[in-house]
Amino acid sequence: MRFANKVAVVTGAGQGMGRAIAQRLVREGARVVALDVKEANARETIEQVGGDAAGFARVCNIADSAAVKALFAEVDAKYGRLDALVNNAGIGGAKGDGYPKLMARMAERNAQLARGETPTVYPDITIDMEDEGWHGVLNVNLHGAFYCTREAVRLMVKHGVKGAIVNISSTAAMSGEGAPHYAASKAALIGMTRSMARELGPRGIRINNVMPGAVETPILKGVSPEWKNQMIAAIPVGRIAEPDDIAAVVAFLASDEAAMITGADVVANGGSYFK
Amino acid sequence: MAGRLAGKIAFITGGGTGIGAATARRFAEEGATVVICGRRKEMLDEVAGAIRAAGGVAEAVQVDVSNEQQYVAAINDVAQRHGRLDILVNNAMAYSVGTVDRTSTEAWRSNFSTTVDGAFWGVRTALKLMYKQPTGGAIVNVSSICGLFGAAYMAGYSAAKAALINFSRAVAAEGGARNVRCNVVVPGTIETPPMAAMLSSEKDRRNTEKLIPMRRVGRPEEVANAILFLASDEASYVNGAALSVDGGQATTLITSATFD
Repeated sequence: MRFANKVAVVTGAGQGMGRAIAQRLVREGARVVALDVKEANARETIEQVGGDAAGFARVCNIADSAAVKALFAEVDAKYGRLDALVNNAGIGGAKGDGYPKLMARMAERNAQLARGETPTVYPDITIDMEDEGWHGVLNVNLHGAFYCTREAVRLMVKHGVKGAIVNISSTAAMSGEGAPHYAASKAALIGMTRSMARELGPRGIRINNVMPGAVETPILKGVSPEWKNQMIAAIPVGRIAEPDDIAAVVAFLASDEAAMITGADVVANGGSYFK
Repeated sequence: MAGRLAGKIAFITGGGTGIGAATARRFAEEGATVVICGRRKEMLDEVAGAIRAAGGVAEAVQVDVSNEQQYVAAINDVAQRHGRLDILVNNAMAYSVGTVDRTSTEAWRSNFSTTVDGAFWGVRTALKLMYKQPTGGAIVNVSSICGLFGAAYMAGYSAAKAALINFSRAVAAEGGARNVRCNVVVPGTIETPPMAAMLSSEKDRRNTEKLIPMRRVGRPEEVANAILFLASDEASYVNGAALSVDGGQATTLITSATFD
């Protein structure tokens, strides 16, 4: 039981990877505070692995720093310690980011190509990206991770805990796959991780970055079978990751087995982009 | 979490000391049958004996990994006797120290014969065996932070360890489709016999620790834990990864300014 007597906060814990991470930590002995914007989903995550004994669930929009502060105060009041934070919550798009226009353009461009025409439509997204859309993704994926990390570090320092923080970045940070606001937000986590690793190392607090490739989460449900097959063909191990594949990596990094690992990026993508 | 490698047959090079010996002990604790090899029989016997005394299963074979015939024969012998090979850890290394302008060709090559050629011979032999097994296998190579950032006076070693990182990624890309994962750990400064000389004075140790955010040198067991993770089924989707085990040292080698 690597997490016996330990307390962990997991963001975006209502579904997919976040749920797998939260439940794995509980199964290894942790009490987990499961956060999600959908309260019912977060509660289900905790109920599935034992209810109150497993921890508790709260609705929390991590982009709201006041809400994050209040939540960590509650963790402190209830448990009086914090051993691990997993910054998993993330979004791929936001209102005003031009995604619908991009999809329409790609459909039109593909139709032109299918007719054997020279395409006159391009897969643009940047020219339609409004401030709101850009900030919408950065607010959650980067600023939210920062707000949570700041409060987590405050708690770890207060209680003298040599805790561990694990950020969920993405291979998109390196490959540029996906829209620019998403790739930028995930790349920003790399810099944040390295800077904080240097800052917090002397305190014994560790922070690492996991970079998954494609993962079977609700986000992938909208992907067409053809696209999915193309994705699988590019993955050496021949399958898209299950959420628990990534949860296993997160649990390792959050555990004392990784006591000398900080500031690291751990790619978990089945070997893709080397093929 | 006992028994993460229950029933597995693991071959570990450079197993008589440091990271290799710690990995052998850790693997045995998790239920693996470990075969360690190295050049110095006495040290190997001591490690294997201690593992057996603790209730584990271990064998020691005297092999120079830079000798193709010896190394290949040793792996094949293990696979034949145990009916399989599940895990290969290429940890053995050799290095030369000196300025580039005064490095002889012989000294240069000594860095590569064990670290790069040896890893290649081991991987090639292991792949042939693992491809035939429905359960595949896992390979973990041991590089060094010198493979990410060239170290002065260790040009050959730095080049060889860098080669090992990209060799591992290429093996991952090929082997993944046939159920063999390959990863590489990238240790920073670890408390091992070769490092002991470099950390012998308090001043040297303090200067080294200052460049490590965790403010301490790593222990071989801490690298062994990372190797164990990558070799185990918990890392079933981790393939082609270069995992730093350095207390954050890699971040400070880009720019060395620290807060204290």
